[in-house]
Order: sequence, then C-alpha cells, then structure tokens
Amino acid sequence: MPKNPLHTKLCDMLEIEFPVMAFTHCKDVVVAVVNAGGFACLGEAMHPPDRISQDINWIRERVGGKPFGVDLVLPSSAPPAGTVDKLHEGIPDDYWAYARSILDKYDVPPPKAEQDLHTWGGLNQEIAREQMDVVLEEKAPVFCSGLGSPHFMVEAAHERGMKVMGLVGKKRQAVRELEAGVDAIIAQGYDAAGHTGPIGTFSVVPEVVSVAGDTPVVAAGGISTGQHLAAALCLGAAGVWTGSMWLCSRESDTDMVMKEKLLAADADSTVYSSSISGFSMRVTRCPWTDEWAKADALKPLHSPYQMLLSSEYIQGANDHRRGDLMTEAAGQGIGFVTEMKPARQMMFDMVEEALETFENLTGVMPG
Amino acid sequence: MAGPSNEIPGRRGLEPSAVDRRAECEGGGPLPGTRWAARMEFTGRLTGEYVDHGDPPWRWYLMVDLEKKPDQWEWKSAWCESSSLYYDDDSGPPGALSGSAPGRAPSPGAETSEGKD
Repeated sequence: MPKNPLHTKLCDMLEIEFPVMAFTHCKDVVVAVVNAGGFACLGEAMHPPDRISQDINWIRERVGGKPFGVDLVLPSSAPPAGTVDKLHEGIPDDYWAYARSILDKYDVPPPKAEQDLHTWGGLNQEIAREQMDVVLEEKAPVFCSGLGSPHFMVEAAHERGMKVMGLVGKKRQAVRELEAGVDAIIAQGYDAAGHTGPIGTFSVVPEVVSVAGDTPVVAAGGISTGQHLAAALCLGAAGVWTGSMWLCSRESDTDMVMKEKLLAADADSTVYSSSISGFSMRVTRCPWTDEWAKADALKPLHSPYQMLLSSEYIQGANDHRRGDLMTEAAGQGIGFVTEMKPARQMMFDMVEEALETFENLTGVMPG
Repeated sequence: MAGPSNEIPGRRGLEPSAVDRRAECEGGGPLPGTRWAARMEFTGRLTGEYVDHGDPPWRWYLMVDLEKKPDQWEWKSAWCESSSLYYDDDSGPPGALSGSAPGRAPSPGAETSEGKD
C-alpha cells in the first residue's frame, strides 16, 4: 500500500493523527480539534497568568492526555510605556474630526462599556515573562511563540518535557530559532491574518524547509482547505498551521454576526490596512478600512494613536453587533470557508480533500 | 519623544563587544488592547547597554541612531531582543567573547560587566 502522505514527522513528534495545527483564541475549538486527531494552540497573549493557568487545566481535563499548545506573543523590540490619557493628547484635532466623520457617516453606535484599550495596561517584557513563567510552571505540552524568538526558554521547556515552536516570516529568523533548539518551525506567509511578514507562503515555506534539516516545518498563511494542505506538504512542510477557518467553526465563540460575514467572504474580502492599529495588518474590509484607504483620507497615525482612534469604531460595532461595520483579522484563505461546521467535521473534510488531491495527482489512493 | 533607555525592568549592564556595532533588528510585539501583534524592523547602532530580564535571562540591547524604523515609530531608540538582532559584521553576536551561546544571553554569573538593577 502506498505511504500515507498525511502521516508526517510532525505527526510522529506530536503523536497526532493528522498534520493540521489550529490556532485559536477559543478553548472549545482547541479541545474539538485535538480530539479530532489534530493539534491546536490557544492564543493567550491577552490573558493574565492566572487565566492562562486555568485554561491549560481546563483543556487538559478534556483531551485525555493528548498534546495541545499555548501561544504567546513575545516582544522583540520595545518602546517606552505611556498612559492612555497621555496618548490621547498626542492625537491631532483633524484626526479626531476625521474619525468622528466616519462614525457619523455610518451611524456607528457608542461602545456599551469602557473601551478595552482603556482598561488594558499594555503588554511589555514583564507581562510576557509572567505569562511565559506560568506556561512553564503548568508544563503545557507545547509552547508556540507567535512572534519573537523563544530562544531563552527552550532549555527550560525541554527540561519540563515540553516542546517549543516558533513562528517566523523569514528564513534567517528560522535559522536563529533552529540554532536555539526549537522543536518545529512555523513558516508564515503574507496571506495570513493580522500582522504578517512580507514574503508569500509559497516562497517562505520552501525557503525555511531548505534550512530546517530534520526539524519539522509547518506552513502558515492562507491555508484553509485540503488542497492547501496537500500543496504545503508538496512544498516540504510537515503540516499546516491554520487560524481563520476555525473562527467559523460551530464551537468558536466568534459572534454569530461576524461568523456570517466570514462565511460570505472571499479572498478579496480581506485588506492589508494600517487603519486599525497603525501597523499594516490583514483584516476583513469594513467601512473604517475603506474610508482610510481613500485618496483624500488622512494618513493613518502611528501606533498606538491609530488604535485609540479606531477603538471606538471597533468596539461600538462589536458591542451592537453591527455586521455592516464589524471587522476581524482574517487571512486570504477565509474565502474557502463557506459553511459553519463542527471543528471535527472541518478537520475530516480537510484531510479527505487532501487525500483526494494526492489521488488525483498520482492516480493512487494513499494508504 | 525621549528614547526608552530607562524604561524596561531587569539587570542592567554594558557589553563591551556590542558597543557601536551596527545591526538590524527584526522586532515587533503585541499591540496593547488587542490580540494582535506587529512586526517591526530597525537598523541602527548598539550602545552596548543591555538589560537581562528574568531567569533564565532574556537579553535586550539598546539601539540608537535608527536609520530604519517603522513609519509609526516616533522614538529615537529601541530596545531589541538579542536573538532578533542581525549584525553587519561577521564577528559573532555580542557576548560570544564571554562564552555565551549565539543569540543567548550569558548566564548571570558570566556577565561581562557589572550588572545593576
């Protein structure tokens, strides 16, 4: 019987059935994906250490010893701190007026509660370190660094029986992380959601594979179908890292209005815009991104000023569930997600389509 | 706006082999108030000042004379995480002379200069 192309070294390393990794902020999705034979990583960058500890144990109780991961964002460059009130003073009047004009034009309701940005003290090295320490203390099976090198904690993680993965956007970042001893590299392309590197998935994956040796490389960026999975394996990846597609799963806690928007989206529905945060990031198009993209629009401000400007729009839209206004970080692969299904079904559909793709290529049904 | 030289907590020191070295930093970080992060690239000169944060130490170098920085960066300097720095010369990462592994901070006992909190 021909070799099963979906059984990769990533499967062996993580003891998983399918080489599919899910990134999600919803722990129900983590449990569903892990119990369906995949691997999932819970994004915890926004949570304090005690919440991270609770989440790890909650998942652990529901996956029967199967591995899962925790994803943090490690800062790798840092500005000074500042208070929100002080930052407000730094926004020019014409920008407040422009933001106000958008709110008025689209009848954006005011947020129901204090804006999140005003209650969040900002993340810095100290917070990241505290988050990291609890992940080590709880011995989460896998630590994934969504940004920044985890080099300084690889040894400590290995001593605790944990595995460490780093997400990179360039070959030389991968080289650095491999030198540090990470167990797998996630190579993420420009198609991905949020703030990405400049290199496309089809280029960055084989570049990273070329330097990774026996270390598994996981392809990320715009991946949401079995065809994508098959293509990633053909590029030399040992698996795929998926994110946006799980926002639409039945288990996901994404607002139903937003889910419907995502299910209706195509690849052209995302835009690389700095109007949300001040840094370019891939999000679904919305009136706010459209207005800031106009030829006569003001140039988006520096971060965090632009976030202060956009936060009223975003939170107002979310609090009042205004589908015509809402936006979400999503990759270009979102266009292939057209049905809300249980995560388990999404996983099986992806695997089945990948196997069909290989069969179509070779004329042989993989084993 | 003033540089961030005194803003980050940790054990401070000066690494002689890093002084005046030119480097690129492939930096970035989380964006406060969101679950997003941003990649940010810098090019500039290291002063040699460092901060080791926590244990095991997580080392950061101060970069000044920024020639390349994100459009949105309004400060005159940046703290750069040691493993995110790439050097113009090929004499190895700072601290290599004191026996630390590439990209890693020396252990506290092997610091190359007097650290201070």
